[in-house]
Amino acid sequence: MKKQKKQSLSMIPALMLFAMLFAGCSNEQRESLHETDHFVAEHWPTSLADAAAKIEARVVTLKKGKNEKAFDELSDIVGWVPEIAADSELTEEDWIPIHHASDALSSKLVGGIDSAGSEKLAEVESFHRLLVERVTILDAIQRSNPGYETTQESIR
Amino acid sequence: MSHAIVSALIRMAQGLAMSAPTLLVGLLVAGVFRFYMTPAQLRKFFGGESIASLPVSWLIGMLLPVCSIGVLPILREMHRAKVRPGAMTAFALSAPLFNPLSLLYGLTLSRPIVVIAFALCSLAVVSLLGSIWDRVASKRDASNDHSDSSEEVSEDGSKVIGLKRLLALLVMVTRESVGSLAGFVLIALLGLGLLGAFLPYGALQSSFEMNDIMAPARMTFLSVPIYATPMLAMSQLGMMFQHCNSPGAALALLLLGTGVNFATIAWLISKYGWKSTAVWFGSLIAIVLALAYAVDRPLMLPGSQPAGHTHAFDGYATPLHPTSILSWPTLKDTLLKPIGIAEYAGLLGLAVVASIGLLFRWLGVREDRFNDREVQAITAYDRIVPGPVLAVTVLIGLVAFSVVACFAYYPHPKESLAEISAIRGEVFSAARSGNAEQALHWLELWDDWSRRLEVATFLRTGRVRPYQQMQGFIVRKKLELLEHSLEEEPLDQREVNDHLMQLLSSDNRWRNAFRME
Repeated sequence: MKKQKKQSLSMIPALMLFAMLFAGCSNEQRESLHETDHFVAEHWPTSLADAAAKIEARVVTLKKGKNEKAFDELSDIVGWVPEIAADSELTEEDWIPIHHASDALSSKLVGGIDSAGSEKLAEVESFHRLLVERVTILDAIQRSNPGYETTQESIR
Repeated sequence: MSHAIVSALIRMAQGLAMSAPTLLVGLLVAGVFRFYMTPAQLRKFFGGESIASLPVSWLIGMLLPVCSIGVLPILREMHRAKVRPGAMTAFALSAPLFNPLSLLYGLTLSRPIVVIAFALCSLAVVSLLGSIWDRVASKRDASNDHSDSSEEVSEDGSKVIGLKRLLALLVMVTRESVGSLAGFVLIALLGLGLLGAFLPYGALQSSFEMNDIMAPARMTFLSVPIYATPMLAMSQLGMMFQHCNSPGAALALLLLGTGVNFATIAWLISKYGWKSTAVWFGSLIAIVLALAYAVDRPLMLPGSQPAGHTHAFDGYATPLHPTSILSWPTLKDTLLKPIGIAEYAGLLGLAVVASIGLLFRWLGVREDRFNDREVQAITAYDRIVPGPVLAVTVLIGLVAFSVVACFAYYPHPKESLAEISAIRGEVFSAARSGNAEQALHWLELWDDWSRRLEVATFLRTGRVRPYQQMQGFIVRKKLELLEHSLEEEPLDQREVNDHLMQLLSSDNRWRNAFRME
């Protein structure tokens, strides 16, 4: 009897392993390999200008007081900006400062909302100014290439 | 039921095809160890009895292009030569993790520091596990407990030289390929078969998300039955980084998915018994789990946006949709999908080697018929080149061959760009005309060549600029979005055209970034 109990106890780790393995796996068969669309966050910026506006709005909120949601979204957007900027007509030379500034700022925002003092907000504002400058450059590029939009439209 | 059996067989056949090239390399290396080195020389080669044997074995493992199946014949030779157990486990775990092709691939991923950190983690694993294993396995003289006459080996090693030595090596390699090794290969592939039979279609798409606390543990246990080649695991790591999956899960996949399979455990049991192997396996799982959770948070990319799902692990679930009809064309397409030219060549080579091996076994031809105990008479001008010199030359040759293969597999960026231009034309033409199947085929190639372009640039210039990496990331993201819209039924041509338009502008920027190199 004792031996039987011992044997059944020895099965517990094996069952636990099995359960852990399959706990996160969906039991439902998917209809398609691509059934699940890519998740896009609500605060994902649509353009560099939008990113700058979204950062500015969150800085304004944070200046009024602690707001965890605004801080988390600010951290996300700061990290996303290099991708948004690289997906625009900015040149590599214009993109590099954004990349470096985003990296530096992201590492400073890792500390969470408690680390969001006025000094850090000042750095975010400086980052925001850099973005506004680049948005001006982008506008100039688009004005000097009026055929750009038309070319894109012709593909549709 | 029939779906499960067919799925298992498909996954096992694909696994065999993937393992064939590195299995042949493993057999060759085992032959070199047997006939070109004495057991004492082999022990010395792996660091002897010193503590340095663990990092030395790790380093040798990192350089040799073998997988967790190809490492088995080498382990057998190391065991025959009574190489220190810790060194054996260090080699067994590190050899399948990286090879020059996969390491280069890994270094060009968005965060090369992650791959370097993973390599260092593997050194930590083999050092810790090797030390434990030295204590456990040394207490047990495996050869005494498992008497096997074929394991007995003279300390003098083989004295045969010249053409006879080559013939002996050929006989050993061919016979070995259809000997007990074949059984271990089957055991290794059984893991893939079980996963293919029981994991539902697309079941792992959301199992390893970045903020999922269970992701590293889940991957640790899933990786044990997995058999993955170094290149496959590295490309899966790339997809995991792209989709912001858990870094801890990625580490577990690399260490266990590529490093260990069912056959590794079965081989250890056959040589060291259940108890010792249980200690080895328990320690390995504990170390990997600890490391996976230790790196999970620090290696998360700040500001990264998880994609919500990934297709990186679809290859470990059942390949057949439950509604698919088991017809020959469907099965053939599913089976051959991941098999490329290297796998075909490897399978052909393995078939030839195994056929000759079967013939030798049938005729009773053994390698020891060439193994003279006296050194053959030599003419005055002949010089006997010491076996270890030849052995090291062959091993360096293998590494040099891998380096040459790197340049061939990752051609000059100009050639890669020309290839991508042709592929892009095919994608646009197929997608615009609504031929989704054709477009999807070319999209996969585009994605592959986008990676190759980056590795080719790194190989020749020593770096990939952050801007180039980011453009590559964006192009691959848009390729995936286009892929999704092409898979929708019914096809929304307007949505496909929208994705094509977005891809066009990103593609121009991406190619310009590499043209200016």
